[in-house]
Order: sequence, then C-alpha cells, then structure tokens
Amino acid sequence: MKQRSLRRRLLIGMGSAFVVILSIIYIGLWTYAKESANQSYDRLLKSAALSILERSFVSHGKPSVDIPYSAMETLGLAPNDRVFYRVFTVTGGTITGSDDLPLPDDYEPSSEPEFFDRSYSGEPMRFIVQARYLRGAGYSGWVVVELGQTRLARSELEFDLIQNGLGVATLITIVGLIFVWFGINKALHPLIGIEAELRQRDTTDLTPLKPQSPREVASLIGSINGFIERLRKSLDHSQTFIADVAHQTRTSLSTLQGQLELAREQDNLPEMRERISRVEDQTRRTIRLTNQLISHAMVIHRADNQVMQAVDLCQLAKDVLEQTLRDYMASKVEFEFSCVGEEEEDLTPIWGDPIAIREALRNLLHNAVQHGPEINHIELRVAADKGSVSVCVDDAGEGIPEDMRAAALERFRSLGERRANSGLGLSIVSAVAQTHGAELVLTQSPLGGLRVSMRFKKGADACVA
Amino acid sequence: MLLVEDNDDLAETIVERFKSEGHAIDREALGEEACDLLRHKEFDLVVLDINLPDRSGFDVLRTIRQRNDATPVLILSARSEVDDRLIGLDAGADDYLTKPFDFRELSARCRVLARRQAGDATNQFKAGNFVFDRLAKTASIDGVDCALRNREVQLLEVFLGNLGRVLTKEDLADKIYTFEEVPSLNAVEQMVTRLRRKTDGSAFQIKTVRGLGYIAHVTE
Repeated sequence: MKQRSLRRRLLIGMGSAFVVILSIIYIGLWTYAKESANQSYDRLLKSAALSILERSFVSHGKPSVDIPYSAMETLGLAPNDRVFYRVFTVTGGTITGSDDLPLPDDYEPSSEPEFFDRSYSGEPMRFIVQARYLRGAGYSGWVVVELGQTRLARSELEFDLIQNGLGVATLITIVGLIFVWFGINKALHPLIGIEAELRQRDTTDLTPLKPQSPREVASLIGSINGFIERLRKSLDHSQTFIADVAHQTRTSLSTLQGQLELAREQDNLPEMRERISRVEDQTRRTIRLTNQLISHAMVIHRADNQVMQAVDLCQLAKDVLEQTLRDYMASKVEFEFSCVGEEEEDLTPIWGDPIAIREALRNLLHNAVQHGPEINHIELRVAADKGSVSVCVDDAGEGIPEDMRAAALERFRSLGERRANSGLGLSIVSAVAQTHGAELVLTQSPLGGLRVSMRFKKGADACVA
Repeated sequence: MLLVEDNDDLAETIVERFKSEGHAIDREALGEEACDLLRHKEFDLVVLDINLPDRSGFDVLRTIRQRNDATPVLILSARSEVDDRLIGLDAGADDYLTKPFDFRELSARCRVLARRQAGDATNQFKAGNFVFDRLAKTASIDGVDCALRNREVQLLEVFLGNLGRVLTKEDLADKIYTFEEVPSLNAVEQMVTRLRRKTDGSAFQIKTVRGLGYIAHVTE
C-alpha cells in the first residue's frame, strides 16, 4: 500500500470540505445577489411604469399618453442602461414607442405589474408590463405600458454582491485552513517525536519509550513498548540458547577429547578397549545432541516461514513409527499403534507443517525409548473428534513427577539419569506444538510412565506462528 | 562395491573398514566420474553421498536408474531436511543413512543390500545362522531344517522381500491368499506366530507392532 503522510491526508480532507462549503456559499450568494439586484431595479421600473400610466388619458375618443419627464429621470438612475418603452392598447395597437417589444406568453392586461426577462435587440433585458383601465368619453379599455431595461446595472450590482460575499468567505476559509494546519501539526507533534526517537535509536537499544501525555499516543507508546519487550525477550532467549548450545557442544567435545587422550595413554589392551567403548558412547551422545540442535533450529526456522499444508496425522504417525522401529529393531521395546476417530469422518487432515510434526513425534518416540526401561511398552495413538486430532505417546517407564513436568519442556532440561538425552527433545515438541497452536499436555500414563499428548485443532485458523 | 564420497577423511575410513572386512571397494569423489564408471563396470552395491561438489547424488541416482541399472544404491546424507529420505527413496535408492552414522550400521545395511543382490542370483538368502533356499523353499537354522509349510514359506518370502518395512495383516493376506480364497486376519496372525516360533533363535526376527502389523529384520 502506498504510504501517505497523515498531515497531507488531513489537509486534503479539510481542504475538500472547505471547497464544498465555498461552493454552497457561492450558489447561495448568486441566487441572493440576483434577487436583490432585480428587486432594487424592478422598483425603478415599476415607479416609472406607474408614472407613465398615471399620465394616460382619453382624448377625442382615443387613448393617449403624455410620457412624463420624471419617469425617464427615474430610469436614468441606471445611467449606462438603455431603456425601451411602448404604450399600447390591446385592441388598437401601439400608441407610442417601439412596437416590436416582446410580451409574455398569453398576456392578459392587469393593473398588477408583471416582470419578465427576455432578450431584445441582442441583449438580455428586464421587462415590466402594467396596464390601466381607462374609462372616458368614447373609449374604455386597457392601456398597457411596457418598459424594458438592459441588465448592466443589475449585473454590476449582482457582481459586487457576489464579489464581496465571496471575499469574506475566502478569507474565512484561509483563516480556517491556517487553524487546521496548526491543529494538525499540534496533534501530530507527539507522533513525530516518537518517530524521531525510534529513528535515532541504536539497534541494540531495547529500552522502552518515554510515556507521553495524550491518551491516544500513550496507548500507541504502550503497544510499541510491548513489542520492544517481546523483542528483547526473544533476543534474550536466543542469546541464552546460543550460550547453552555452545556450552553443551563444547562440554561434549571436551569430554570426548579427554576420553580419547586417556585411551591413547592406556598400555593395557583390555582397558584401552574399555576406554574406547566409552569414547564411542560419548560420540553417540554428541551426535544425538548435534542432530537435535539442528532439528530444533529447523523447526524454529520452518515456523518462521509458514510452510503449512494439509496433514494426515494418521499416515504421518504410521510413517514415523515405522522409521523409529528400524532404529530399535533389536531392542525389547514393544510398540503399539492405533488411529481412531469418534466418528469415521472425524479423521480428517489438519493444517500443519508435516516435517515439523514428524520431528516432534520422532523425538517423543525416541524419548520414550531412551528414558524407559529395557523392556518397555510404547503406545502411539491418534484420536480424532469433531474439532481436533490428538496424538499421544504413552510409555511404561518411570514417567516424570508432576512438579517437574513444566520444567521438562524447557531447553537443556534433561531430567533422566542417563545422559544420552540432550534435553532438547521435549523442547522441540513444545516448539512444534506452539507454532501449530496445539495443546501440549504431559500426564501420567495408564501404562505407568509418561503420557505426552498433542491436540491439534482442525481448520486453517487453528495455526498461529 | 563403489563408494562415491567427496570427503577424503570419511571416504578413507569407510574404504579401510570395508577392506578390513574383506570387500573390494572403489572410491570416486565426483558424481560425473561415478556415472562414467558405472556405465562400464558392474558393481554389487553403490554407496552414494548426496552432497557432491559437481552434481547432486539424487541426480547421479536418477541417471543410473534411467539406464535401467538395478544396482542397489545406499544413500548417505548430512542434510537436515527430513524430506531427503523420501526424495532418495523416490529417486530409486534402496536404503538411506544419515551422517553421522554408526559404521557397524553401515556395513550391516550394505550386507543386506548385497545379499539381496546376490540372493537373487544364487537363490539363497543367508543371514548369520539363518539360510533360506528360494528354489528348494526350505529354511534352516544352523543347518537344521525349520520344516516350514507352504504358506509359511510364502510368508517368509514376503517378509524377506520387505525387511525393515511394516506389513499390515491385510498386506500379508493380500500377498499370500489368492483372490478366490477368503483370507481371515486371524489365520494370518496364527501363521505369523507359527513362523516366528519355527524361526526362533535365528538371525531372522519378526517384531509385532500392535495396531499396525509386523516388521521383519535380520540381526547380524
């Protein structure tokens, strides 16, 4: 997504709001200005028309009019406008003036003035028609006066009104925008401060940010600090992990070296053989440690890379058991396998990383063999219900006391006497469970030893990483 | 046999080990050279490293298999990806070992593969005190005949062909019974029990995995 400045966004938003308001003001102003200009000049037209009508009379049985000077003077108040006039009767035609002045459609003479706009002689004009009923000797009927005036003075007044109104509105807008600008800057100031602080930070500086006053920003700072804290913890974890790994591998290799040296110094052949067999044991332990470290790193790495797919746990568990069996073919350990669903259709695939789950199961089975007695019974069970699929590994060994189970999941916590275990097995299982959002539970097994069960929820949303 | 391994120290150790056991062993460090050599010379067994400097061991394996060369191949890998095992077996490998490995394990696996190859030729399967004659259909322990019945011989053949692989009762029933016969899983169970009893004390052993099936192996 394109990143836009918050300030710019706010300004654009406020600016467009102002433009909308200005447009509304302009439309209102325009209507108002037109109306008031018309009103003022219509009065002039009306008084001129009236004074002409007052001077109309019947003479020799014919209507006649004597255009008063005052009427022209009234209209002269708009000095640049041209005026046309016409006095006529409905029946007898024009008495005086331009006889081609337009009339409103379906004109009926009336003593009420009627105004209309029409174009005449190439200009927009305002017209008034008003009539008077004359009653005299030999004639009675309507005498109509029509006056037309060009719109120059009106337009000028209209323009003045609009200009003044808009001037004020624009001024208000500018002042408003300036306030908005200041407001935005003021509101964004704490954010800019945080940005500057984060940018200037050293990469190793993981101290929390200083709290700041506005409530909205305070919660943002809270979230950032929460994140920094998690990052710090994760870094601490990996530092401890590296330290642990270094310690474990170096110790293991030192032991190996020491035993080799001792073996070389032995003159007595049987004793040398005895030493060398201990070297072999130690090598095996080192190999197992290395394998588990690699496996642990791989599981964590894969979790970061989200390689989830549909996994048939039943088939996967079968495969893992088959592989494990090959390693312990000669041992006296009995294995048992089952895969059942509450309903037949419950055995559906789950969403997960098959390689990580395989590692976890393999470690569980190896742990069960290595921690158990020579004659052991190990059960691998897959059980499904509507919402989840569980994988359980039971053994007939000594198990882990309840108060030590939580600690057993931590790295390099080998609880057994036999040092063949690096203490990473269960922590690999725990990491896999975590990345799959699976529930990992250590309980007492009915077989006598430990039961480790991992419950995977069905559906893609069950996975978190 | 042929060893294809680029690490000199490891190669030397393996070569020495196999020579001390009385096997003839050639070593190549590059995949290309190994491919050429395999074109001209026949081997009983190839031990193939995956991480070769010039081309991947999988690649070499596929080339060999494309030539319809059925020489048994055991793959060695130090890669952490667990999928390597599956890729290797898909590409036509007969077995798979992850480094670091136990040398005893390596020679045991090699013996199994070589024996399979030789057994196909001589019709004899030998493991420790256990001998199975494919032509005569007889098995013996320390030279004493086990007196196997027909069905038990069939069963034994199936197990020997699938050493180290889990076989379900259904698998076994499918392989032993003809289409017309109605196989009973119970009968299969009893038959396995009898075969196990008759081969007791030999290098051939059948392990039961309850809920899954049986897995056979030979101890050395």
